Formats: sequence, structure tokens, C-alpha cells
Amino acid sequence: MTSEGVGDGWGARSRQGLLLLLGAVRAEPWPFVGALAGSAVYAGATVFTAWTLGGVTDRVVQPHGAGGRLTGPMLWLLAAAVVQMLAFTCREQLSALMRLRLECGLRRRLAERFAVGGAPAGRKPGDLLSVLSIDVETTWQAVRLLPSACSALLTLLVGITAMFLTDPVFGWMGVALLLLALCFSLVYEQKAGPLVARLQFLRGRVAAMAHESFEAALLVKASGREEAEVARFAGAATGLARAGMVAGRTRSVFDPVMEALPGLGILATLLLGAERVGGGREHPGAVVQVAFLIALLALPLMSVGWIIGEFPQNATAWARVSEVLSAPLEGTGPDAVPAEPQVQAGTAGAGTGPDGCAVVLDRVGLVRPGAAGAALSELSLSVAPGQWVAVAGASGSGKSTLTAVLSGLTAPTTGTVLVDGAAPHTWPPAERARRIAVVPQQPFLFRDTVRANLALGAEYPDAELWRALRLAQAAEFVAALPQGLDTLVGERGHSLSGGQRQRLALARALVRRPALLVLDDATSAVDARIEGEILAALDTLRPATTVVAAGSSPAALERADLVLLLERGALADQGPHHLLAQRSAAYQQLVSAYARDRERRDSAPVAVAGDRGRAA
Amino acid sequence: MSTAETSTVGVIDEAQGGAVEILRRGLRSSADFLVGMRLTVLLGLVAVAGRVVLPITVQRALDGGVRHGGGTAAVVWPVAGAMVAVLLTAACSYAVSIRLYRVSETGLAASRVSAFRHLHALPLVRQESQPRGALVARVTSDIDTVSSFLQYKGLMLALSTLQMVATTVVMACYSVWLTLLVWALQLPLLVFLNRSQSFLAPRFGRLQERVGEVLAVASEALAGAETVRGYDASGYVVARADRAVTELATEQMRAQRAITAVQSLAELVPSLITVALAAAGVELVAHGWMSLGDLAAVLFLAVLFVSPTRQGVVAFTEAQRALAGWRRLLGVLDAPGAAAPAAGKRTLPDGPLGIGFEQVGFSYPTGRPVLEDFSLELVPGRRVAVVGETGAGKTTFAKLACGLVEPGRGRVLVGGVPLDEVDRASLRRRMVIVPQEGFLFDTTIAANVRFTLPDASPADIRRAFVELGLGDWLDGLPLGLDTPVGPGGALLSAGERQMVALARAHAADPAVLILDEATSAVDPDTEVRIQAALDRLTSGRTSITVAHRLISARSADLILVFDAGRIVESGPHHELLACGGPYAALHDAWIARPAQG
Repeated sequence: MTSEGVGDGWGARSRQGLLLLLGAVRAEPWPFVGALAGSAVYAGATVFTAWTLGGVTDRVVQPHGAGGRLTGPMLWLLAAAVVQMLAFTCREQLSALMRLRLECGLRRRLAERFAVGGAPAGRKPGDLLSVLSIDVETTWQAVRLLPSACSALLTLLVGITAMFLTDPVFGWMGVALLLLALCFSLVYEQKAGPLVARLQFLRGRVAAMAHESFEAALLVKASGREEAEVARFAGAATGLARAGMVAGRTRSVFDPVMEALPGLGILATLLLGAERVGGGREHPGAVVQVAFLIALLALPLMSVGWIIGEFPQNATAWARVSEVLSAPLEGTGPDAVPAEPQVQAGTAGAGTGPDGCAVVLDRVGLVRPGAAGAALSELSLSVAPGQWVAVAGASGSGKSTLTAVLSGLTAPTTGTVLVDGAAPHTWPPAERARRIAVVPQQPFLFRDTVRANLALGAEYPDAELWRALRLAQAAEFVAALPQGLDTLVGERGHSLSGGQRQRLALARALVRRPALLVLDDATSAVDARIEGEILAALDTLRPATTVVAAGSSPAALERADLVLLLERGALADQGPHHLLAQRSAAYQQLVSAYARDRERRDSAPVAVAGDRGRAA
Repeated sequence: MSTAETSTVGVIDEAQGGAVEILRRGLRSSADFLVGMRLTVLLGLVAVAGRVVLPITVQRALDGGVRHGGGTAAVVWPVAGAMVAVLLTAACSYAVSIRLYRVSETGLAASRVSAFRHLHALPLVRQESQPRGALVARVTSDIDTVSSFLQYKGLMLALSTLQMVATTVVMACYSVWLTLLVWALQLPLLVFLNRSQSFLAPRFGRLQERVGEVLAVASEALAGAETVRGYDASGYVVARADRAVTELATEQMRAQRAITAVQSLAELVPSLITVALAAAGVELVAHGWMSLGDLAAVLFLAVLFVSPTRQGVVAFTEAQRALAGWRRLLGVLDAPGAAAPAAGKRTLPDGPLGIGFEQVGFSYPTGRPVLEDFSLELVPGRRVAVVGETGAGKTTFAKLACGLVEPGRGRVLVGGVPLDEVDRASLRRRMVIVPQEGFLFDTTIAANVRFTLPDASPADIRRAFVELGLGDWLDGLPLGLDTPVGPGGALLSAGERQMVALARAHAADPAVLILDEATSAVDPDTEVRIQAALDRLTSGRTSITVAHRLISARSADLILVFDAGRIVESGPHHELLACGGPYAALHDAWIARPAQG
């Protein structure tokens, strides 16, 4: 984690920093030109003021200099002050505009990357938030100093030329001073680079830890582990602080040295000048001039120094940002990216027909990266359009994995999945989402209105939304919300009950009128009566919708045309519910569990209800 | 939690007060900030003095040595003196900087940690109303603004001020009148800067708020990636993110405009000072009231006065962002926490615990009731089942019972002790709740169980699973207890996640176990097995089970039936069934399935 992607060679970070600045100028040329102009005018006005002031004081020395003749220069000085102010405004505002536009653009790209592909593999959300906020800001920090640094560079050139013109010896001294500053910057960069990289990495870790801990807030509170979490976070925060101090120690050397260099230059001029004047090779005026020039160059030198001092941070931050931007999108392996829509022309007009999708699985296997066993193996089945297929099995038997493969969200490792004759994971995402809707067991709701949560960016008339809500048995509670469809639900829908969240997720699927509806235990938090009503409503959607419902709720199994029984990722049996219930012991075990439990409990002696509490 | 409420309820306020007040409170919020401050200031003074000495020495050397052609010998001493000054300044600046890094990093780490602690201590309702991303911003971005200020600009502001003071003193030695003239111009600037805060502060407050919003939206995009992919809804999420990012940029631009406006106006003053000094000085000299040498010195000193003024203005305006960060940080520290830890000192009695509700009611901050007032006594060691339609207030009841949610009215007693008087650690050891979607950390199964029981051995953890009838499942995992669960438990199925959460709660061996739809995602066979195990394990213990499947209700000592925020029925299974009321209806719906095997 020293400095991913930056390289460790001498000057690598400065090179990267310069490249970033070049890129910035290329991306925002006009604000840059404007800011540069403002900066040049500002520098010009400063020189003009100094020169005019010098003239004024010189004139005072003349016996008949004072009095009315000063009004003119004073007016000029006032004018220069106003010009300087305007130039300042121009420089500051435009360089800020440049930086903010770049920041905004980079944030957009990152946010889009998150929106399209989720978190890159192995990256924690909090760490990515740190990239989005701090690293983006740091990447473009030097941009703000760029216009003044550019005009400073110009001033340095002019100044050193002037020194050469005065006396080449002084000129070379100026060059030596500049080179010294440059060498020192490179040494600083080499030292600071890894420290800064570590700092940014730890910053990400602190954010990641905070994010995970806040995600777990309920658990933390419920189990009284606040202090343990605080201790864990304190460890990370202290590590960050320590790294900050280490990086700060290096940074603390940089600024004082950059400030001391011009001073030392002036003193060298004095020594050299005194020697040359003493030897008669130079007149005193030249020395005064050069000393003055160096004093004048101190600020430009420092402002160039400041920008170089930013390079290690900028380069590291950019490395972190670009690492995220270039991470491969999840779920789209090299062969999963559709070159062109592969929905074959002959297959039922791809969704225009009245019937639901046909689904065929042929020896499908799936191995998750990092998992020891196969999640699915040698699974073959066929679902006719408009059929209702239930998928039963114990927890962890592969039901959810099967729904993900069926709906094209996951590509199988082996075998083929065909929905209407084409592999759904190769469909264009828009087409796939139009034809296939998946309802996960743990629904995800956005911190937005009910309407936005159903539509997810699409436009539906209210009548369509209400139709879907009614089918999902959610119309009643949505109508009772303070602002109906426009009520905000909290983050992850925290202001709703689990059953309400599931019904909204179901409505989200139904409003799309999918040809294939895939339910992953999507009514597990809904009580029996409502579940029955939902199942009955879904039945009315057939044959326009093929339904695949994973889950072991007896009511859902009973309603299915075909039940698939999964065991450890393989198809153990399939058939209609009543047949399976007769021939499969495993299936009986699963579906009659509640009834057996009731019988067992009913035959057990009834506990004497002594003091059973009183409700008032 | 049954009703949607707007997410603006329960927002954490910013701390109020002027810059000085905030700075004072901020610096006092951690003792680390003020460590060795005197020496730091002293070193800063030396650095400034060195800076002032250098030009004077150069002037002397030029006048005395070079101009008169005295050769190297004539300048050697002044140059040596100046060299010492330059090196001393550098050394002192280095020392000051390093000391500032040290105190600010330690101080801010402490602030970060106490903000984190406070956010975890917030009442649940308030906590949930904050998007996670915004909470993260509170302990990262907000604090980083303060740190960058303290480390760079804060030093500049302090040194600038010192330099202005030092220069004023020296200038006054040359000419009192000209010094007064300088301050006549400088004072309005200071007043203006002070006033400008009321105009800058709210802008930066909004800016930091927008940062939180961007993080909140991005955090949702990351968490909801599956849904986004499933519905090809990246357009929706991108639009949301774009809006948040654009709003942040707009707010940044707004703040920037305000800053530039203030800085530009402030930029005029140093120029005016220079011009006024030159004009007045020339007049004084012309009338013979001042020597030319003194004027040269004053003009020179004016440069030493004016340049820190410019730097100081820049540092001051940029300090506003840091102050906004600090305001937000102090706002977190000011926010009322869940039952102040000082209040809860009493420990719970040993043995089974009863739970009493005395006229307890709960409403959202908007006033909409979730649970209407009720009184109830749950006898120690009883098994209670809570049933009712979804959204009837069952979860809120469960959270009230274990003190996760504080009642709006009335009080809850556990073991005869009012909840707000109970020591939190004692409460959490004795009462455990398992929510429907139990959170799993991105680590192994064993480490997740260890979260509540840090000292548990692998054998203890295994036993927790075996006792719940989940030994077979655990043995079926190739890596057993060391199976990684993935981010948020994504490598496990929802049912398996619930099993781990259940084992985690069971391992803690609490006196009161509260299950809130804790087995809803588990397959029926396993659920029945777990329920039977729990019946056995919870005998003699108090338990509250919220479930829409009525498996647990049958063997419960007491069933509470909720409807629309009220307890409409209570009693044991057979009694309620005989009444033919709401419970009987629920029960009929539950068994009325043809699929009874």
C-alpha cells in the first residue's frame, strides 16, 4: 500500500502531479487562462506599486520634490490598488471554479461507477466514501495554487534574467538557488510520498470502520458493545493520528527550508557583492538591486514550493481514485459483456407476446470465488411460459443462488441458462430488467419517496403504481401514510416494518409487468393472511407472467405447478406438490414441519397458565 | 416502527456561537489541544522575530558595508547575524509546525473518538433517522477540515497576528502618528472580518452538510448495488448521485463566492495602508517633522505589516470551513445521548427477570402514535409470544421492552428497576434482542459470534450452534466456524445469516431473550427445530418472541395480540382460540393452508 500505481522512482510523484495539473488545464482551459491573466495582472500591479513608491520616496530626496506633485503618483497608486483587487478576485474565483468543476466531475464519475457496478471487489464501502470525499478533494488541491505558481514561475524567470543582466555571477547564483530548491523538493517528495500514501490508506480504513460500525448500530446497541466498538475505532483513529504526525514531521521540514532559501541567497549576495564591490569589479547599486530582486523572488519561490509540496498528496489521492475508477465491474466478466443483444428473433417476439418467459437450464453449475464447495451443480430443468414453479429446500441449499442465475444477475460457471432461448446474463441490462423482475428476500429501499422506490427512475402513471401496490397487498398501508405515494421512507426503509418493506419490493417488481417474476422468499416477513392474498393476486397474472418462487411456505408450494427440491445445490427431486409430498421423505420433512410441530405440541400436556399477566 | 416519517426528523443540530466561542469550546473539547501551547507560542514569537530581524540586518549591511565599498570584512558580522536569524526562524518554524501536528493530531483523534462514541449513544430513533454516510462524514470529513486548518492555516493565522503585533510595536518607535494611521485603516478591516463571519458561517455549515449528503447517497448506491443491477436502475442512482454532487458543487461555489468577496474587499486595505503611509510620510518629511531614514524604515515596516495581513485574511476566511466542521462536531457532542450513562448506575437483580410496562406509549417525533398507552406485567421466567399483522407495533414493543427505544410516555421496569436507571452494561448482558435482519460483520462466523462474547472459545461457539440444533448445518460448511460470511453476510443465505445471529444471541446466555422475527428466513424444518430447542433452552428464562408464524405462540405462556398499535387480546393459546377473537382469526389463516402434509 506504499503508493499504488504511482511508482517509487525519483520524481515519479512530481511527474504525476504535473500530469494532473496539465490534465486540469486541458479539461478547464478557460478558467485557467482567466485565472492566469488575473494572476499576471496582480503580479504586475505589485511591481508597479513598488516601483511607484520607490519613485515617490526618491523624489522626496530632491529638494523641490514634495507637495502637489505627489497627487499624480498617489492617484496612480490608488488605481493600482483597485486593479490589484479586481485581478485578485479574478484569480481566486476562476481558479476556484476550475478546481470545483474538476472535483465535481471526478465525483460524478466515481458516483456513477458506484451506481453502475457497486463496490469493487474487496473494497469496503466506508473506504470508498473516503475516496469520494477526501481523495477527490486532495487530487485537485494543487490546482488552486496553479495560477499564482505559473505567474510566480514567470516572475522567477524575469528576476533571474535581470540578475544575469546585472552580473552573470549573480545570475548563476540565482540559478543555483533555484536548482537547490528543486533538488530539495525532489528529496522531500521521495521522503513524503510513502508517508502520505500510508496516511490516505489509514484515512480510508477509519472511514471503513466507522461505516461498518454505524451499519451495525442496532446490533452494537442491543448487545451493549458500544465501548468495544469505540475502542476498536480509537485504535484506528490513533493509528491515523500517528501516521499524520509522521507525515507532519517531514512536511514540517519542507516549508521552513523553502522559506529560508531566499534569505540565505540574499546573504550570499551580500557576501559576494561586498567582495566584488571591494575589489572594484561591481558597483554598490548592482548589489542592492540583486538583493532587492532576491527579496522580491522569495514569495514566487515559496509559491512554487507550495505547489510541489502538494504533489505527493495529489499523486497518492489520484492513484486511489483511479484505482476505483478502473476496477472491473462486478458480475460482468470478460464473456459477460454483451457485444450485441442476443435475444433471438425467433423467440416469441422477445416480450411482445402475451405469454411469460420460457426457462431452460442445462447442467448448470456455479462456484463462487473463494467458496470451497459448489453453490449449484449439474442443475437441469425446464419451465414453460406462464408456469408457476416453486423452489424448496433447506436454508443454504442454493435457492437464492438459483434465482440469481435464472434472472441473469449471475452467470453460471458451467452449463447454460436460457430464458426465451437466450442467456439472460448476456442480455442488455435494460432488456433484462424489462422482462425479468427479481424480488430479493431482504428488500433494499432507498431514502426516497414510495413512488421513487417503485419507479426507480422510470415513469409510471399513478394508476399503474396503485395497481402494483394492490397486487402486492400494499395499497392499504401506503394510502394510510402521511403523504401517500410521496411519503419518504427512511434509509433502507427503516420507518417501515419488515413485511411492509417486502410488499413494496414486490410492488416494485409488479409495476414493471415482468414476463418472468423471480421471488426469493419474498414474502417471508408477511403474515399468513396477507401472504395468501398476495399469492392469489399473483396467480391472476398468469399466463402473461412466468413465476419462479423460492421459499418453503406451504401455501406457495401448494399453488405451484411444479416444485423443485434442492439439496446442497443439486436438484434432488421435482414434480407437483402432491406427488413430491407422497414420494419424497426430504420434502415431507420440510413442508410438514409446522403441522408436525403443532401435533407434537398439542399432544404434550398443556402448561398450567398460572399467572399469565394482565393487559390493561 | 410502522409508519414512514420524513427523514428530517431528529437531525443533529450544529453548535451555536461565534468563532471565538466555537474555537474555545473546540480546543477545550480535548485536553490534548492545549498541551505545551505556551512553548509553541514562544517558539512562534522567536520565528517571527527572526523574520523581522533579517530585512533590518540586510539594510544595515547594505548601508554600512556594501555601499561604502568596505569589502567582505565590513559585512561579515551583519551577515553572520542575519544567518543566525534565518536559521533560527527555520528551526523555530519547524519546531512550531511539528508541535502543532502533534497536538492537533492527538486532539483530533480524541475528538473523532468522542464523536463516534456519541453517535453510538444516540437514541435509536434519532440514529436511524441519520443516513449512514452522513454519520461517517461526521467522524471523517468534518474533522479533517479542522485538522487541515490547525496544521497549515491556523499556524499562518497565529504567526501573522504575532507579526502584525510585533511590527506595530517597532513602527510605533519610529512614528506614533503613522502607526495610528495604519491602525485607523486596519481596524475597520478587523471589524469587517468579524462581521463577515455571520455571513460565511452558515454557508460553510451547508457545505459540510452537503458533503454528508453525497456520502449518504453514495453509501446507498453501494449497499443497493444488487437491486440497482436487478432493475437496471443505475440511471436512477446516477441521477440521485449527480444531484447530490451538483448540489455540493453549487454550495461550494456559493461559499467560494462569499470568501472571494470578503478576501477581495480585505485585499484593498493593505494597498490603501501603503498608499496612505507614503502620502502622509512624504508630507511629514517635507515639513521636516520626520527624518527621511525614519520614513524609509516605516515604509519598509509597512511591508512587514501588510503581507501578514493578506495572509491572515486568507487564513481567517478559510478558518470558517474548519469552524463549520467544529460546529458540527460540537453539535454531535451536544446532542442528548441515550440515557446519560451517569443516570444508570443500578445493576439488575440475579435470576429470572420480569418486565413491567407502566402506562407506556410511543409516538414518532411528528406526534403520530405507534403504540397507544398500555400497562402490562410480564412475570419472570414466562415465555411471551407477540403476534399481529405486520405494522401493528410488534417491533416497537420488542424494542421498548429491552430499552432500545425509550418510551415517549410512561416507564418500563426490568426486574423491578426502571430502565433508565439501569446500568447499560448490566442491561445488555442480561437482555438480548435478535432483530429480523441481524447484522454480520465481514469476517468469519466464529468472529461474529464472538462479537457479543469476546472470550468465547471455538468449543463454546460450536456448542451454541449445536444446542440450537444447528450442528449439522455448521458441519456441512467446509470451513466450519472459520467460514467467511462476506460483506454484510452476503456469502450466506438470509436464513443462514439468521442462524448465526441467533447463535450469537444464545451464546451470550441472557436472562431475557427477545426474538423479533428472528427465524423468518429459515426453512420450516430448521425453524421448528430451532423453536423446539429454544423452548427447552428458554424454560425458566423470560422470553419475548415476535413472529408472524404462530409456531412459538402455541407453547407460549402468554400471547399478546397487537392490532394498530394496541394490545387487543392476551392469554394462552387454548384460551384465546376458544374466544374466537382476533387470535383465532390469525390462527385460522395460519393453519388454513391445504399443505399440512
